[in-house]
Order: sequence, then structure tokens, then C-alpha cells
Amino acid sequence: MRALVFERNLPRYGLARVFSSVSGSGKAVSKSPLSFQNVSPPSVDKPGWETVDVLACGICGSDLATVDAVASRYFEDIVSFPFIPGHEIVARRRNGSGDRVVIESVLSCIPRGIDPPCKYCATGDNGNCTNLFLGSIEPGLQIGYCRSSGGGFSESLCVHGSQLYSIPDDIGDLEAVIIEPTACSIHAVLTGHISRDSTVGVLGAGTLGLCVTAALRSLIDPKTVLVSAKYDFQAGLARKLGADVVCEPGSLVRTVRRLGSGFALGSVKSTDRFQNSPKSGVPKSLSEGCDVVIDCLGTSDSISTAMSITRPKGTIIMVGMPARVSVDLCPLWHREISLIGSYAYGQEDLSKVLAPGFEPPGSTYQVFTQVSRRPQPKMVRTFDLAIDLVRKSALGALVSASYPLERYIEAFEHAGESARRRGVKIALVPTRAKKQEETN
Amino acid sequence: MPRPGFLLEVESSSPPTLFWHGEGFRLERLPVGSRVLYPPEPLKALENPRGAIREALRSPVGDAKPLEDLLFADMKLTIAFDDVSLPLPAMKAPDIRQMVIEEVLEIAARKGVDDVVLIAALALHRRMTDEELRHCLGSRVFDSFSPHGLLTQHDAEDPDNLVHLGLTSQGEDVEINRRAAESDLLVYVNINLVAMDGGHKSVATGLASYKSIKHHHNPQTMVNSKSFMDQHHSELHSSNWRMGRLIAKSGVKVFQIETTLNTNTFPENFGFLQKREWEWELKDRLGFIGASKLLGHTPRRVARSVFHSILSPHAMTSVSAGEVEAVHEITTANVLKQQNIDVEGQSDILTMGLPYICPYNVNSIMNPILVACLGLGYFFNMYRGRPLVRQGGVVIISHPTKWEFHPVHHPSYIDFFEEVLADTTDPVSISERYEERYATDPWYRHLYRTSYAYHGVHPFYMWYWCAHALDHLSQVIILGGERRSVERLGFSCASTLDDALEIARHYVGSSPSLTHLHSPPVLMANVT
Amino acid sequence: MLEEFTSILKRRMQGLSFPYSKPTWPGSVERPLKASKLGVNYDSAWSRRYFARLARAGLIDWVARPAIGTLAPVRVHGVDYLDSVDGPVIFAANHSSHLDTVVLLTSLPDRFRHRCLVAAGADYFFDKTFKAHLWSLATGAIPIERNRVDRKSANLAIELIDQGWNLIIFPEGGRSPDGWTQSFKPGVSYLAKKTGVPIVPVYLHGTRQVLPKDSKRITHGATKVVFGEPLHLEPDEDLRDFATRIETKVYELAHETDESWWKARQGAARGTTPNLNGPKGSNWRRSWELKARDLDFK
Repeated sequence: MRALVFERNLPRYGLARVFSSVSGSGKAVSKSPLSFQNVSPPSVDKPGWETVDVLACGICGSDLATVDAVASRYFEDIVSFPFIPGHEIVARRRNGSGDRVVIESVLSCIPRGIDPPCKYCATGDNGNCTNLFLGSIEPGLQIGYCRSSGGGFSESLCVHGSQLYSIPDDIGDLEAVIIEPTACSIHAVLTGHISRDSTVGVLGAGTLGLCVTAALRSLIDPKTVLVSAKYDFQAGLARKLGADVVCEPGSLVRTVRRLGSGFALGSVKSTDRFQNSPKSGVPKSLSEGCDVVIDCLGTSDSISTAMSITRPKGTIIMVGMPARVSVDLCPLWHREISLIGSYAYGQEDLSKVLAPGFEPPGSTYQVFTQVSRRPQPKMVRTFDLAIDLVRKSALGALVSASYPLERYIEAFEHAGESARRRGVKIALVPTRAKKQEETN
Repeated sequence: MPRPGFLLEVESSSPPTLFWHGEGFRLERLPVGSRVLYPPEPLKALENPRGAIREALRSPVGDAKPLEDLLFADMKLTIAFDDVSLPLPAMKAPDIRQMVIEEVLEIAARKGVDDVVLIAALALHRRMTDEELRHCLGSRVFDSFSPHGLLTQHDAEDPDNLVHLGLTSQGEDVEINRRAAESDLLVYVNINLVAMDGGHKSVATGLASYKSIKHHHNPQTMVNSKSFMDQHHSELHSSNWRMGRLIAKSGVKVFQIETTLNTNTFPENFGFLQKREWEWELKDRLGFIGASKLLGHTPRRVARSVFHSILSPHAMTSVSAGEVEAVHEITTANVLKQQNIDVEGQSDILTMGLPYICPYNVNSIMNPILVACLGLGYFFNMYRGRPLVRQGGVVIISHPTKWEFHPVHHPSYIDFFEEVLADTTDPVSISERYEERYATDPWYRHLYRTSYAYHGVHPFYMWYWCAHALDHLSQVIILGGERRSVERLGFSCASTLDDALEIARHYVGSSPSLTHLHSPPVLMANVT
Repeated sequence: MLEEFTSILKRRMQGLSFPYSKPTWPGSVERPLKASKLGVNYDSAWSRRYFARLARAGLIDWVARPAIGTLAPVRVHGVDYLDSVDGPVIFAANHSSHLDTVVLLTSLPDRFRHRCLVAAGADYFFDKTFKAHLWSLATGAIPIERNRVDRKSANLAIELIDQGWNLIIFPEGGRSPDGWTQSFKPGVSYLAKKTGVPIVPVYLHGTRQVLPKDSKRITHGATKVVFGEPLHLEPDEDLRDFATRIETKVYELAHETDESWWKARQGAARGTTPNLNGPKGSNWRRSWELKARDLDFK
């Protein structure tokens, strides 16, 4: 089986870090510890586990961070080398049914065969599982970081039946790649901090930003959704997905001020004659601001910006994966802003879905184990909401390009600059899977 | 003997025509048969300006007593003066205001007047910096008044310092500066650069509040001012006159001092700007080549500060004092004497090159809104009779029109450009949907009052200024403009004059007539 | 080679358009008659400023003197007369060649040479900007109207003499058309009257042979410069008479050169100094006679 394998190789890791910081994200793949190899297919001989064939797998921001060697070292103990990355997986089951499925890739207590499960898994919040390094398989927070299961950037992998969700026929293989990031977005939107009269700022209009926008509009429908988009085509997509106001990052602070009519604080009293350097026109922070800001970028800049446009006692939700950042937290302290994280998915409380006329979708949740964790009444699996949202908002269109697995270097390069090339989500497709499709 | 304005009909033997282009220039070959309007040459300056001022104060016009007889020891005297927006560019020291105010204060001192306050008549403009005040009033006046807080700047948002004098016959609020209204005498010191300045507008606009100004600064008034440079056909003028008369009737005693300037606008080394191209001598050609080459390699902000440090050799051509309307009649005649040029017939296309400066960006950046305002508000309206371009015609403006704003001076402009113009460019719907929010925005108000910002509503006025032109024209083309900002303004963008003419032909037919406004220096076309 | 270069340059210049070339003049616009800045109106003040003088001194001392020294070696007589005068003087010389100015300028003693101007025909030397600049720089020429009375040019000369400048003037009013000397015009006496400075008569010999009037080629040959005793205008003297007196003095100097000082003094006393006006009569006879003289005194 051919797959992209990420090994523990410190020299190459360092090299990738240097190269990616110089030449840009996605450009250092050939220097990184990632390589295209022929490996024996993973097999997990444990109850509930089965092998599926990969149809497509999206390149996530965290995958890019991994090959750029800028990912946080926090993960060191909850991954197991060498692993096959890729967790936005669309696959086909081998059990004869030939069902197409998306995979909820978190490797929580249930796939790990831990019984009784931790208290988070017991209530269905498996994204918060505390046992990511225990159980019958190697450590790894998700498929794509675990040696035992294999990952999406290969021809096949092992999954636990509890991780599978059937894809309806009207969503294509490639389109289905967007379901996993949509689930992350929904999970962030349904944290319970956003009300219908909120003004919500979304920083970034890449995959996450756009999915968050769509989720906000269809699950909460708040008063104002403001998206900062760097590129025109992103702005267009954001508007289409339900943003009320879209602005360039440079004018974000002003735009938020206009919405709230507060004061802008910053270097605006100087009488320097011609302060036309790009930054001098940007007020530093606002007296009023957004009720909630969803940061889909996770950089030092984006977190600072988020703080400057959040109102006192407001909330910042971090969806984009951050690493080490350098931020002045004084505004957070002074304005009593809550900074909360949002990782992956699990189940959602339907009472937090505020959009009027919302119909909860039927479940496509597959459970093939003795530990049944069907959602409580009024609860729903995030993935079910995500599949529903992808269908309703046609988010599949956000998958802009796909590459055969062996052209992974190009694919990562493209993913690293996808927005500049008018793209959103880039996917990898195993050649074998492609061939099969052709013969079909 | 200065020559009058000149109308050149372009022929194949004509040299290329100079266009201003922001902080630079263009030389363009206009199609044969085009007309180029050259402004009259600068009139001779008064030989003894101070003597002339003294004489004017001694023998005022209209129903007014000499200033000396109006001053008495225990009175409240207020002297208001035009702000930094006049003249353009700023004039070489001594500024006219300095000379006039010094003469007035001389008399006041002689008569033992103690309670004297100076007010910069800002209307909704930005406050002047100390440097600018010092330049315009001179160190003697500045140092005598500023340290004691007696040199003030009008604040149109200070409820404690405004007084409502009543409504005009048309129901317009008249609300002006309290100190000015409650003084025994208000002396207004004006500089008249263009025909719309001065008269009742000085006090009724310069010292008024937003509540009062909005009655004539709106799209309806502007569309009905054809042009607002022609007082007999200007709704803006009429409204100001109604207000001025009400102010007089309310017992506010105004002693108006108006001055006019000649059009000697640029110093010696920029002499080519005031010359007809075929008369350019070696010096002028070298000056032009040197300036354009140098500017081509200068970062814009440097070029900008070079240009804004130009002090103009403007000189005073007349001064008169006394009762507002009588004074203004003389002033207008003198302005026209300098600027008038008779033109026969309209043309399909009007071209103009805009300089780096307009009344609202002295020591600042000429942002796209101001480009529109200078071109379509000011230059387009420099006519009496009928516009230089026919109904449904096209205006071609040459200016780089960069997406650049001065964050301190024009904060509300940035939002206006980002938010309002992105939505609509129709003055009427802009005024209906956005004006109030901007005018009452507390942040803008705060910046206007305490920083150096134009009032929140000011960009709206700039856009209303264009209303008559937008209503009259079928298209506006910006030559050499930055595409995205020109698009935001709702205009077309062309990189060469040929392209611009090609676009224009689409609107005005295949063999259009063309008139070029060879300005500044300013001229006022009398179109028959 | 030079021609080739200039023609290339010309072609290049023709390709340049406004503003690199002069603007064209629209046909419909009347060309105003510009007050000319050439001829007597030429403002040569710049050529009397420090740097122009420095440049001129360099030209005269380092270029003209060596050149004259090789092409037309000069013998100078009568310099001692100049020792007696202080203050400015007017040098009045006969004139038959362009070389005269240069020969005379380079032969002047230092104190005159570097503070000396040349009265030059406004119509000839100042008719083109380039020529005007060149002559005023190289020789300190000032424009003098020679065909009619012109207050302006005379006043300029008077003013400059009053400022302490020495002046070289050729009272014939131009180079001799045939080689014989023409009669001196009274303009020089007018200057003497107005300024009160002495006139130094100067006889220039041999310059015509080195650079004849209608030739562009310089022939090698010796030259002589003879200074005479400075002359003053007598209180009641007629200007024309004074001009004639200067003219006669120049002839005496010529006589002195041709024969000897003693012969010349004798001639002067008897009133038989041969004049150089040449015989009256047809042109060929004048030339014939002149040729004979040239042969005699070579």
C-alpha cells in the first residue's frame, strides 16, 4: 500500500521549519519528515475495527502546520510515530455494503476499547476524551496522528465502526471532504455564547471561516455576521454563505466600529502631516465591539485583532489551531474577555441551535460496538449536523482542487497558498481509488 | 499689463497641453479642434496693501461707519477669520489675515478695547494646528492671544457655545457661535479665492452649527445651484443670504472685511504652471523636465510634503470693508475681473488635471473623495451661464486617485469610502440613509472637537458638492487613476488619454468636441 | 569627424519632442514681438563677475598668449608710456583683422589686461545668443552700436570706464575693408569727453598679414604693437579734431614702425607723416599701393 508517512526525524524537522519559514507554507514538504512510501496496510485486530478504502482526504491547516514543522509541541505525547497524516477522510467500507462514509477521526475511549469510558466520552463529548494515549491502540489524538490506525493520505486505513457516518448519495466523494471541517465549525458555533442578537466577527475566510459563516447563518442566524476576508473571491463566498458584512483585514477594526458606533482608540491624535504608512490608519482598539469573535486563524495577529474588536465581557472562540503565539493579554484582562477554545466535534445540544425553523437531521451515526453512545434526546452528533449543513449550503463547492496522492508535493504547495490561487480546500486522492472510480 | 484669459483652438502645430496630475504632471496631445481655456494672467497687486487695508477700514462701503467709530472701550469685540482652507496653496508670509487683523487690533488698542476674542471660522472643517494659526495670523497676533486662550476655533458641536437665532422664511435653523453672536461687534476677515467664498456665507456657514449648515449643504441645494460659483443662480447662495439677513436682523453687528487675490499661484521655479506651453522658455522646459523626472523617482509621501510646503506668492488685489452685501458685491466683481474668461458654447467633453491640493487637504492627503469633489464640485462649477460641458457630456479628470486617506484629518472619509460608497453613489440616497448616523457619530464628534479631524458629515458634503455634476454628466473618467478607488467612486478609469476619449465616445458620439480647463490657477468661464 | 558628430547630434535633437525641444507655436496665436535681448540690448553684466573674469584671465593667459606667441609673435613698443597713467584708459587702435583684439589684449601689461573690456560691434558680435555669450566671456566684449548714435551703448561704456574698467576701441568702426586705414570716428572722443580718461593710441602692425579680413586661415607672421603717448582732450577741442589727432598719432606710430622714431618725429613736426588712408582712386590702385607697402616692410 502506498501512503504518505511522517517519521520522527529531527534533522529533517528542523530543515522543514527553516525552509517553510523562508519560502512559505507548504513549500518545504520535500525537506520535511513526510515521504511517499510503500508500507504494509495497517491492521487493528480489535473488536469493532475494520479496514476502509480511502476515496479522498482533505489537507487540513493542522496537516500543513505538521509538514511546515510549526505545529505545537503540545501534541508530542499524544501522537505515535511514524504516522500517516490525513484526518478529513472520505472512504468506502469493505464489508460488502460498499457504503461511502466520512470518519469522525477522534480516537476516544470507544475506539480504544476503554470501558468504562472517561466521563467525557460517557456523555458523548468524545472530542474531549482524556484517554488519548491509553487502550488497545497506540497513542494519538486522532486518526492521522496514530501509528496503529493509519491515516487519510494513503490507500486504506483502519477505523472503528463508531467513527463512521454514511454519506448521502447527493454528496460526491470530493465534496464530502468538507464535512469534517464543517463539523469543527459547527462545534465552535454551538458553544452557547452566541445569541440571536449578537454581532459575530469571523476572522479569516478560508475553509474554517467560510464553514463557520455558513454554520452561524443556518444554526444561530445572529443579527450581524461580519467576516474579514483577504481576497475578493473569499468575500464573495462569505456573502453567499450568509455574511452580512465582509471587509478586508485592514479595515476590520473600522468596520466593527461602524457597526457598534463606539470609539476607536489608537494613534489618531497625532498631527504628523502625512502618516500614510499602512498601519497608521488602523485604530488600535475599540470601546465597543463584537459580542463574539470566532478566530479561524490562530495567529498572534489574529488573536490581538480579535481582542481589539471584542466588546467588554465578550467572547473569543478559537477554532483555528494556534501554536506558540505572542500576544499582549492586557485587553483580555481589562475588558474581561473570555478566550475559549473549540476543538473537533462530538455531540451538540439542540437547544443551542437558535435559528428559527431549524429541522434537526436524522442520524447517520453508525454504532457497531457493544458500547452504545447514541445521543441523548435533544442531543445530536456534530457530524450529522455537518452532513446536513454541507447539503443545505452546498459547502462541497469549497473543495477547489484534488491531486493524486503521489503528487503530494504539489498538493501541499497548493494548499499553502490556496487562497492566493483562489482556492479553499485542497484534497488528495489515492490513485487506486481513482482507477476504481473510472472503471465504475 | 497682464493678458486676459485665452481660448486656444488646438491645431496640429500646437504643443502638447499640460495637465496637473496630483503630485505630478502629464503632457497630453489633445485632439485637433479641442479648446483649451487658459486663465487670465495675474493682476497687478496692490502696491501698499497695508495702506489699502487702513483706507478700507477708514472708509467702509454700504451702510457702515468707519471701524474706528464702531469700537469703544467696554465693548465685546470678536474677530473671526477664514480657516486653513484658504488661500490655496497657503500664501507666503505675511498672510492677508495677519495684515488685516493687525490693522484692526491696532485700532482696537487705540480705542482701549479690552475684551477681544479671535475665532477661526472652521464651520465643520478640522481645527487648525498652532503652526497653521501662527502662519496665518503672524507671530505677533498669535503670541498675544493664544497663551491667554483668546485665540479660539469655532466648535460646531459645542452646545454651550452655540446660540439659536431663529428660523428663516424657509424654515432654516440659524445657529451660530455664541461669542460671535453676543459680541458688540463681529469683525469678519475673509479671503476670497473663488466666487462662492465670502458674503453672508462667511458668518452663516463659517460660524454655524451642523444643524444650521445642513439646510444648505444637501443634494437638493447643490443640484439647484447652477453653479454655486454664480451667486445669481446658486441656491447655496440664496440660503446663506436668508440666514445672513436673519443674523443681521437678530442684532448681530457684522463688520465684513473681504480681500481678493491675484492668481500668481506658484513660485518662480514652478513658473511653467502659469505659462502657455508655446511660451515655455528653456528655463520652463528644464523646470518641467526636472520636476517631473524628480517626482517620478520620489516616494509619494515625500513628493507630497514637498508640494505642501510650497508657499504661494499670491498678492492682494483689493480690500473692502463695511456692510456684508455691499462689500461682497465689490469683492465678487474683483474676483471676476481676475478670473473671468468668456467662452462660446458648450462641449461634449470637459478635461481637467487636478493638482495635489484642494480646500480640504491643506497639509494632508488628497483622498479619492476629495478628488471627486475638486473635479466635479469645484472645477466643474467654475462657470456662469451654462456648464462648460453639455448635459449628458463627459468629464475626464487626470489624477492618480490613490486609495489613501489621512487617518487624523479624514477619519470619517475612510468609513464613508469603505461603507457608504460601496453601497451607493447616489447623493440623495446617501443623504437619506447614512448622513444622520455619520453626523451624530460620537467618535467623529470627539475627533472633530479635540483632534484635527473634519466633522463626521464632511465627506457627505464633498459628495453633495458633486451632485450637480453627477446629475448633469453621463460619465466621469479618471485618467491615470487607481482602478479600485475609481471604481468605488463609480467612475471609469483610463490609463491613457486616448483610452479615456474612446470610453467617452461611447457616451457622446464619435466626433466629440472637447474643452480643457488649463487650471490652476483658477479661472471662471462665462459660457454663452 | 566633427561634422559627423554635429550632424548626429542634430538628428538626435530633431527626434526629441516637447518639452525636450522647443514648443511649437500654434498658428492661430499671434507671435508677440519680443524685445530683443541681443545686439545693444545684450546684457553682458555676467561677463564682468568674478568667475567670468577668472575664466577670461585663464583664457587670455593660458590659451591666447601661447597661441599668439607661436602663430603671430608680437613685439611690443612703448609700454613705458603706460607707466605714467593711473586709472582707466581707452586704447584706440587701427583695425584690420580679427586678430587685433587678441593681439592687443595679450600684449597689455597685467594691470590693464585683466581689467579690460572691448567695444565690439553690436550688429556683428551680438547678433546671436551664442556669439554674444562667447565674445563677452572670451574678450569681455560689450556691445557698441557703430552705425548710428546710440545713447544706451555709449552710456554703458561710460559707466564701465567710470567703474575703473579699461576699454579697447577701434575708432574706425570696423575692420578696414581693403587694408588701408579708415578715418577715426568721433565716438572715441565722446567717451574721452564724458569720462575724462586719457586715450592711448595704439598701432597694430602685421595682423592683417596673419589673418586677412576675408580669410579663415591663419598665416604665420610677426606682429607689432606700438603704444603711443596718452592723449587728453583739450578743454575747447572739437570732438572731430580730437579724433583726427588720435588718428594722426596712430599714423606717427606707424611711421615710427616703418622707418624710425626720429624720422617719425621729424615727419610729425613738419606735418608730413604719411597717412594710411591710401591713395584716392580706383580700388585696384589702392590694393596695388598696399601690396607695394607690404612688400617693402616685410
